[in-house]
Amino acid sequence: MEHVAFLVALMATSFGAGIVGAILGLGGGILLVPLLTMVFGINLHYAMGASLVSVIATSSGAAAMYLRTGLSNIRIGLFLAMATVTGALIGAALSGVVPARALELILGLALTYSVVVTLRQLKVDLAEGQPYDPIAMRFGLEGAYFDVRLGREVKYRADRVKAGFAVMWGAGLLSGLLGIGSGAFKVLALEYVMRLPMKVSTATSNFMIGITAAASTAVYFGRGDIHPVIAIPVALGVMLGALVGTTLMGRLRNTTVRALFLPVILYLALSMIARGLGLVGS
Amino acid sequence: MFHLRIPAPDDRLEWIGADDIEGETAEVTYEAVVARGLHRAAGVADCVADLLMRRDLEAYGPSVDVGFFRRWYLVEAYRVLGRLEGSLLRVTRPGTEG
Repeated sequence: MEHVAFLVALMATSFGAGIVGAILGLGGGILLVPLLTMVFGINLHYAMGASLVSVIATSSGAAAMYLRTGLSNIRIGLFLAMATVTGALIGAALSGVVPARALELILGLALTYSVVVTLRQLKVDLAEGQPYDPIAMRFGLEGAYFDVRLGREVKYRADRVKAGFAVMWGAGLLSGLLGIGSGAFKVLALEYVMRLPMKVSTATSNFMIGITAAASTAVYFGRGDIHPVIAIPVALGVMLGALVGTTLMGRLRNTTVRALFLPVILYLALSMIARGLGLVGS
Repeated sequence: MFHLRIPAPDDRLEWIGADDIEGETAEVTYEAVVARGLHRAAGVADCVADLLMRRDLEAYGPSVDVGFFRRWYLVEAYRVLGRLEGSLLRVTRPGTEG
């Protein structure tokens, strides 16, 4: 009976993580690992493995739905993936050479600035007017989706593509240097720099995370680190949560998604500053 | 009930196991104590934590935010040292050396 309760609780927790991950375009490690280790007492190594299962399940569950509804933009995602992947490769090569603490401090300050920007834009649902960035026009970095909440089709086009590409490259670099997924930075780059609607930003970030996670899957399965008692309820819970999250996302306002995103970047900003200043170990 | 005794940071660690080791946690501890010549528990734990984190980062990639939990690996490393005490490691408290 105790085992059944454990599995049900694990599945319910993963269900919640799936909803949040699908709506906010985050990988899930930051959400799931603390819960699995501190609440369920699961070994950190297995929690990481379960977290990868969660990332793949979120991406599979959410990306299919987002692609169908047009919220996720493959063209923009793949275009920017070139920046994140090259950045991540260089970051991984520089890991251990560049001081991690200084980077974390800079990252924390940048995130604090984005918290301020988010607060300023909290009530802006969609940017006004269509931008005319020459690169976006040339590569067709644009799209449309039917917004259930607004009851109309929303057309959008990427703006400041060069700057967005550079920020994405930076997100990839940090990812490689610090070993973090940087889903939050991708969302920020898509929304604030390239001025895409918030819902498109989180959905496209989800798609991009899926690309990275898929690359890790082969290694993960090859190592035989799958603990079925943990991985199966996590995968099922997250998959169902992601499906519910995608349905919910369609009905939410961009402003609501942004408001939900705010505590996440605030938490990331504070923890990165604390690490950078050496207040907590890094 | 079994209670794990975690070494204190100033404890001195010595490898007492064989050289043909099995298991990842034993391997990383061997790397820290024998290959890198670390003996103070704090230094060994730091090294083991770093090796455990790099191992997971290599296996899972950055998607799961392994680097974000760097500090947590230190807790795991001290637990590993506690588990290996007696079988592969000898732990000596400062001032109690024979």
